[in-house]
Amino acid sequence: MRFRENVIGRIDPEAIKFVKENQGFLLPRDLKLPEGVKENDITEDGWILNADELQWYTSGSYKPTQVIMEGFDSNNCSYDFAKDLLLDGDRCEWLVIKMHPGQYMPWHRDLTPADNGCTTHWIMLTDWEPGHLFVYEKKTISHYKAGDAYTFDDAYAWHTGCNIGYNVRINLQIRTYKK
Amino acid sequence: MKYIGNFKDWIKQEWIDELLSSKGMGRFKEGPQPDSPVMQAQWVKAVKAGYNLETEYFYMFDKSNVSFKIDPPWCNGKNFHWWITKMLPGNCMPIHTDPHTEYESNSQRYWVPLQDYQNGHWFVYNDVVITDYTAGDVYQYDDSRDPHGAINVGITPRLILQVSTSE
Repeated sequence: MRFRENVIGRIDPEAIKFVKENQGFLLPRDLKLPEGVKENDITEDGWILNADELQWYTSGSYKPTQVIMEGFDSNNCSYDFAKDLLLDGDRCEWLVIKMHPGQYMPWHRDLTPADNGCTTHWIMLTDWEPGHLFVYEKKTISHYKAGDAYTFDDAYAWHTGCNIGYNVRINLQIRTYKK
Repeated sequence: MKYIGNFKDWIKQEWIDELLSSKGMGRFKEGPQPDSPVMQAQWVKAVKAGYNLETEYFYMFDKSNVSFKIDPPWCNGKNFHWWITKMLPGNCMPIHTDPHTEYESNSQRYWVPLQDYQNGHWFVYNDVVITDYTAGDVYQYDDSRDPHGAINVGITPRLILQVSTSE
């Protein structure tokens, strides 16, 4: 994973404020299970788990009915976080992840997007503080500033983040694709 | 942290079996309440941040709830006390300092994983995530009052022995 540049000047401060002040999708609880997968207490509304998400949220003792973070995308946020931030691609997808203290994402890798030739970029939207972890393979990213942008060297890389600090942790994930 | 050595042969498989098959004390919902101003301040900070003290964030064992005895060979006759933390996937302990190190004389802290490192078993010491350890490795804090925390974002339980010595 390599540091690219700080792009805070290209992100609308009102967009970050919106994420800080509003509740996003409750993940993974607001996701729906695919056809044929049994889980009785999944909510009716929300996204459908893709193959990756199904793996992440049903491995070990994790449950797809838990709430371990919040998500924002174009379905629940009118701000376009990818505007002015298309990094090395012709088209992109974006997702903002908000983690309150105690929230986390299980250790995982993104197989489906990688199979489709994506490049993954992470942009921190809050300053680093102790307990705000981002780990890429065996490398820990810390002491970052809001707006710092990083690009995965390997789209299949194992990674995750969590928040065992005392303030909310927000980051933007952008996946770019070539035509 | 300073690496002291590996004491894998000293760890008994029956300890691991008992720890994995017993629930332990579900902290912070169960077990001791704050008994010092330092601990009280940390609890207030945690609640303010959104942590729920009625939740079981991890499981703790000490001499009161295990059948075996711990006598760490690296303590060389010093006064010591110990506890073991078990984190199931998704469990965590926020960044904190150990209150007892504030008032014990010449307090020294040791961190001893009882299992080999597995992905997602993270110990955070100051700003660094400790990885690639093996069962029985003994690490000593540079300063017993250094901030630390942990989380298990892997898929198996995580067991750590904590030892503290004083004069």
